[in-house]
Amino acid sequence: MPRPKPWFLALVGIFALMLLALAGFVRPVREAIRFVFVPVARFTSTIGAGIGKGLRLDADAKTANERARELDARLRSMTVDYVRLRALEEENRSLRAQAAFIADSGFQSLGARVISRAVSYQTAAVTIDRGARDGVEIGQAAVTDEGLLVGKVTSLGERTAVVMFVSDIRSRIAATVSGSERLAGVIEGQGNGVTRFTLIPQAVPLKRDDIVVTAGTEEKIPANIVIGLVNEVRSQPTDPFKTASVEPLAPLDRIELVSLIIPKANAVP
Amino acid sequence: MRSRHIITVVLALLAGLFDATVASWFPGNLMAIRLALPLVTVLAAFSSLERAVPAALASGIVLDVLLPSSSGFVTFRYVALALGVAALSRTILTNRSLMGAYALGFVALVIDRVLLFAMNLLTRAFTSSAIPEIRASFIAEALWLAACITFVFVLFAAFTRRFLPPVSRTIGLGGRT
Repeated sequence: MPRPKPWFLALVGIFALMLLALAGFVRPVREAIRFVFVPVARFTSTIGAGIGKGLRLDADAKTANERARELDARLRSMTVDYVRLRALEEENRSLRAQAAFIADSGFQSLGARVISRAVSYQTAAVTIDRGARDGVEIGQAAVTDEGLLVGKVTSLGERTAVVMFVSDIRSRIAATVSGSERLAGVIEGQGNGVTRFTLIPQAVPLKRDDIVVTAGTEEKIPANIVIGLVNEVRSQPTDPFKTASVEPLAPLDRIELVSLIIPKANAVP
Repeated sequence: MRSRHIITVVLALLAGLFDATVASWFPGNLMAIRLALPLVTVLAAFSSLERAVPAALASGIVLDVLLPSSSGFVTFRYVALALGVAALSRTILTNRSLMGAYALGFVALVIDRVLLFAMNLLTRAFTSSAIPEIRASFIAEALWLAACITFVFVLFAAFTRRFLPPVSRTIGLGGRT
């Protein structure tokens, strides 16, 4: 009987390994490799983030100028508009709730560094250097230092976790308008750093510059975390629901550090 | 001989680490500046399978562990790529010229993209929320791979002096070759 070729054996071996990986049997090996590489990855990702920032600088300057003009126009509009004033009051109230929530709600934050990214026009996810052994669980919210929602944990290892951003096309988060006590709809990722607020009943009042926050109906995502601002509301009188485009306030294209909102019981000292 | 293998594996680990933690921060098509794929391709085309497969395994495992899209498939894809390129370089594209190397690089990229597409489909079949691996455009990756191949080819030629123009023995003696 002829001996099988080495390349055929290698391919069969790798295929078997892949099936074992899918079944979860190689998890301890992966965790052992992570144990070695995550500390190195923290360092190299800092270098990568620095280089990436430098490469984006030119494009950013142009975008920042356009953005500054747009924000300027919106700011002027806000200063003369009583409704805008109310929106600011709501924002203030929401931020107060946000600040109080960390202290009072039985949750606490856990800092994490982004060590790898997968960001394209449809996908937006990062690997962070915290995992199950730090008290992280699937479904927990990731926020910026200012308390703006970045996304939620979608997969988990012992030492690393994957956070899917709110703008990823697979992302769905229950949301409401700041100041409203009940669930208003769902924030769906649209790619390219944009989200859409969907399934909003016609009876829910919604206008440009309203602040969208988490609804708190998801077990591991507390209420009142700021997601973004309403840009445009689309509504047909014949439709039962309306939709709105929402601009996330977290700078999703350059996040290097996030805070995970974890229950105090889960926190690892 | 063993030390060469160790160096190859260490380089492959570093290439994987660079791809996962540094190159993933690059904007747009600059994301094409990756090291693991060119390393595996060059080793499979110009060196041996005994060096290409461990390099594919090492860089693939690091990428699988660190990328958000980790599924265990990068390792499989890179090993399959090494085997495919090595087989092609020994059977069909046997011409060891710069053009031949470009052709091998192009085929390697096509194999990689086909496998990536197949594995993304397979991953999506298992879970709808699977995160696909993000890559730069095909053209950007082809240009980067061509640049890497040219660099390796020039180095190879300089060290081995294999491609120096032949010098006639009769020059200076009034004769003709």
